[in-house]
Amino acid sequence: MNPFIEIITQPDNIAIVIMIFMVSFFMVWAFQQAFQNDRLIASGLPVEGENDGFVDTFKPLVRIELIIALVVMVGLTIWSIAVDAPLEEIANPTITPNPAKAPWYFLGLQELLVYFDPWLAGVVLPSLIVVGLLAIPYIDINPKGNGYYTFSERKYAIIIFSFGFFVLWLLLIVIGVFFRGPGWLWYWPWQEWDHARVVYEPTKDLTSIIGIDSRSIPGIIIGGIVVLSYLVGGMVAPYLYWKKNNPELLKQLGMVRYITITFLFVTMMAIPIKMILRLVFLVKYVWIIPWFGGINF
Amino acid sequence: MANENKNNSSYRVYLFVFFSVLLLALSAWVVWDDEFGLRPWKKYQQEYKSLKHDKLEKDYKRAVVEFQRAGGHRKLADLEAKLKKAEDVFNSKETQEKYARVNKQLTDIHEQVVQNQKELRDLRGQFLESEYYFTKTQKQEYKAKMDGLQRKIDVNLLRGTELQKKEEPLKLSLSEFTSAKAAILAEIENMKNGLEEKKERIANNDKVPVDIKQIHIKDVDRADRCQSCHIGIDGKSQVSLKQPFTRHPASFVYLDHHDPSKFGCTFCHRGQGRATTSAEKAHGKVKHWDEPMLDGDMTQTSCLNCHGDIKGLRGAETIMKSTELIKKYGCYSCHKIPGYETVGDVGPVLTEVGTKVNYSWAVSWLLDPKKYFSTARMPKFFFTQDQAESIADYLFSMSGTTRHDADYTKATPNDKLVEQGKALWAQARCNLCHTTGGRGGNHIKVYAPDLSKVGSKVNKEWMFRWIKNPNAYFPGTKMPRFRFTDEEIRGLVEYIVKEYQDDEAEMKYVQPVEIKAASIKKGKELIQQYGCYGCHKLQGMEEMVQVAPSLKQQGVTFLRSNEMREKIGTELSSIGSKPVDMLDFGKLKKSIPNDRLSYIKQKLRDPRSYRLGLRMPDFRLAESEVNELASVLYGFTDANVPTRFLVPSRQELDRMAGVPSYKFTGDFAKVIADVKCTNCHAIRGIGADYAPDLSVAGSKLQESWIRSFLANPDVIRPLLQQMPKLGLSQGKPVAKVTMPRFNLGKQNVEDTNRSDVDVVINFFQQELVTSDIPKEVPKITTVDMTEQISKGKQLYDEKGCRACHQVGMDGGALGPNLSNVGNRLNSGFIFKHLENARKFKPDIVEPDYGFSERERIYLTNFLMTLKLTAK
Repeated sequence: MNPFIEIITQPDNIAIVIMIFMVSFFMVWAFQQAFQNDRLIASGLPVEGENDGFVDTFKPLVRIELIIALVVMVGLTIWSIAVDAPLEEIANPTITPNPAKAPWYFLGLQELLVYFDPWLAGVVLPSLIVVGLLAIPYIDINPKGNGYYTFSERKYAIIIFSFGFFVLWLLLIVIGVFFRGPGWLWYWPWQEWDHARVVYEPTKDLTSIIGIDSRSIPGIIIGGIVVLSYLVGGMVAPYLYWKKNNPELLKQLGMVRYITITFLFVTMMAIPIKMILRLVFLVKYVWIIPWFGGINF
Repeated sequence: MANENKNNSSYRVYLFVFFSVLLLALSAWVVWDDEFGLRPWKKYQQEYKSLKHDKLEKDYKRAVVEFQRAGGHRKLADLEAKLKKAEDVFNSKETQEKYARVNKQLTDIHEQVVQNQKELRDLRGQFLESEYYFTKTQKQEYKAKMDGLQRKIDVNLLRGTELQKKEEPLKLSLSEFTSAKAAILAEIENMKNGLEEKKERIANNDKVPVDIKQIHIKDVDRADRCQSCHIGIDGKSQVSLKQPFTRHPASFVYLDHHDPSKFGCTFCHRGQGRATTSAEKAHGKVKHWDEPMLDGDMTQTSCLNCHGDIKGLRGAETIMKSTELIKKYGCYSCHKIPGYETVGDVGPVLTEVGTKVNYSWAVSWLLDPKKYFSTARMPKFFFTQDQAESIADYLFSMSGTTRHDADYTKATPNDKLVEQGKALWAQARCNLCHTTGGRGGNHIKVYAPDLSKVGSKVNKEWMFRWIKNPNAYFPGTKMPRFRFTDEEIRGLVEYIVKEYQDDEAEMKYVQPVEIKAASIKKGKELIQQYGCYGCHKLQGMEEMVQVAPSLKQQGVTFLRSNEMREKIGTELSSIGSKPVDMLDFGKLKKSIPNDRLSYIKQKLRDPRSYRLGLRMPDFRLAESEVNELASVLYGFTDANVPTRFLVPSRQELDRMAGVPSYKFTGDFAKVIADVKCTNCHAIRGIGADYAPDLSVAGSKLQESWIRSFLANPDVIRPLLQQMPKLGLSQGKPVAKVTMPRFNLGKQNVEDTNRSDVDVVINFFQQELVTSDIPKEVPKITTVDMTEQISKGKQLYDEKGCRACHQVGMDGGALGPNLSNVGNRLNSGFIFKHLENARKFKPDIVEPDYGFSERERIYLTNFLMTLKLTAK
């Protein structure tokens, strides 16, 4: 059988296939609505509809929710009768399965392990995701877009969220499920998984590329400068830009909000940057701090 | 707008109703699936129950019909009429009055008895109390009281016996009134009993609950639920021939010795014993289950899990035959296999092979052994011509410096010698072990080489030395030393070389050619790489062998012991449970099933097919051999077997008990090392089962007979030997196989002045005796000897002994010929043999007539008179 068909038809992966279709459908639908409303806004018409944007909870909403609950229960019941739990062979403590994959919803984080140390990929970044999601109501000062879809009125918020959710969360899961095979090597859908496959891809630390040992003092200093200047630079640059072009915005935000937003944003953007460094330039670490048992960036 | 809203909401109501109904239906499906869909065994059990019900009912009905046919119902009616009559008599006024009177008397007495017993209990209580106070206080008043009570107790007991005496006859006379009735009732009961029992069995069967039948083996925490479907597997009778309801085949062998409630099923059959949702899952024939179920003869592979020695194990015949292949092909030479650590080399010693064979032969043999003779055991290594020559160069350089051939095709043979040799060849029965072009080789397990082309393989000088003393060239060879004279050997060699030439042999080196050092070095590397020393002895000879100075200067050295890895192949001790992930299917991953058995079979069929660079040679096994070997290898597991299941082999038990294994000692050891008796005979557990076991031969056989037999072996059991297929004298099939004549008695044992026959006889009489067998038959002095003999003869005739045994020209040929038994066997042995023949030979066919001791003595005395007078 075609390896790709084999993978997507595995009982394990049904959820992800469904997820891909559902997410695509809702994304397209939401943006369609948003652009429709944007056209209304642009022509000065109200977007809320005849009810001033308000609908009763009881009856209209509860009814829909009840029906959806039924549909979901019907679907899950049929699924669980028709498809057995995908068990594999008896666990053998002497054999590590290859590839050893986390549950699908954690595969994005597992994929991060390719690019970051475990303490970053497994502890700091997930914590920041939770903290960041919790912080959204407090750092969002834009009153528009409540109760209706719009893109033009919340451009930055939507772009940043879409990037974080679709690319950094869902895409990484899809990669982890479909594109990672034995040895966590990259396999295209048409490639056969091969346990004996060897890929020689030596990675180097950033400073080693320019000839300085990354574990020597100069290497550590240079690496530290690069990382810290990215962090500081990334947080200061928008300040300077907005101060010149949109000082009103800065004033509205205030210093605490500004620092929180920029810190979260810079951290988020560090992920694709490090991915590109790792995949394209074969950089292992930018900055090594050898004294604490391996806190490396 | 409002209208549209209303439409909208009614549409939602339909949706709601539709999905609600759907969910309700689904709930019903869930219940059904849980009750029946996931529990297919329920259906099987119900079907089995109804099948068994039908069978039992049929049984019952047949029994009823038989009962009626035998006039049962009429008899029953008669009995019932009698019963009626008896009841009438009993119920008549007169009898009733008598009965009531007796009954009254009895009740009165019984009341007295009860009263008396009450009193006794009372007295005993008081007595015990007084006794307690007396022992505590030692006061005389208590003693007096005790004595008084004791007297009363005695009186009471006396009265009790008297009452009992009165009671007994009354009871008897009372039962006389009812005895007639009771007897008839018992008879009726008895007649109905068989039927009632059958009826009850039907009821019991209907009551059996339908549930999971699980066997839990606690020590290894293994749960088998196989009997949930295979419900009749350990039944007493066959309920149905339909699967899964059949009984276990040959259960008297398997289940009788392996109680399913203690062993479960999956120990032997593998499979997924816990699975109950489908047959495929339970049989382990699903992905991710590495232990698919074994069925048929393949199951015998599991015997190896527990049984240390399967030789002679009933029910393990197939696997035992298969294990012979491991010895035949010497798998243990390269692979570590448990239980084969002490088995000797499969190949001959090669240290001085250069003095033995032709160089051209050696090269062609290395290239393809089966080309020389089709039954060759040596595998094909796929050497190139260059590689084969290098290896041959290395081997030849251990005893010389040249490649050389000896060509006898043009020599004119000495006809007289050839004639003598031909006669000797037949007389010595060389064909018993050696085949010549498909003829002979009856004793297959010694794996003697085929000699049909040997004239083009070895040279005369070597052959002479070999026949004269095989041990000198190859210590531990199976070839015995026949005590031929030099003259005889010369004739034999001439005959063999003349008779068995290979017409296709190419002799390139009749003019010797010097061996090149580079080639030797290459040969050494190849030998190391392919581990030739696994099967052939090459090591330990480095000091003994002279390397020519010129070769030595060029750096030629021979392999030292430490340069030879012990086992070059993978360890096979747990190949049967090796995780499939760890088997390298290489380029065949897609083309053969990825399971363990397929892997093993493919490896045996084509050892180098998985990837390049594999070293295992090709044995060119027949498909049947592949299957047999695979089934053995599949049984080498590290299965978690409870220690209480293990049945260690005899040797293991001896080792655990600290019993040293049996060893031949003294001069007899020298004779055995020479004549190799144990090639065919087993003695005290050592040796083969080709010829009779000699462990108690000293108690069994008479000295004079042994002497004459060794001098001129004759046939004793014409039919019991394997069917012969050898033509001893030029194609004419000879129907009898017997022991070769080793010419014992012509020479003394090495370093002594004792004749080898004397040594053998002495050993038989000293060592191969048992205290179980008396030297002589016990004597009966009261009966005259001639009468004893005639009684014995009478018995011999009565029991039909002649059906199997031959005396003179009369009798069958299944048992040994008894014409000369009086000269052959000791009377004590015959006596004991008649008592229990199986004690000496468990698989003997002789029936057990259960003779009394006296009869056995008569028979023995008769048999001892059967003697042939020496001619």
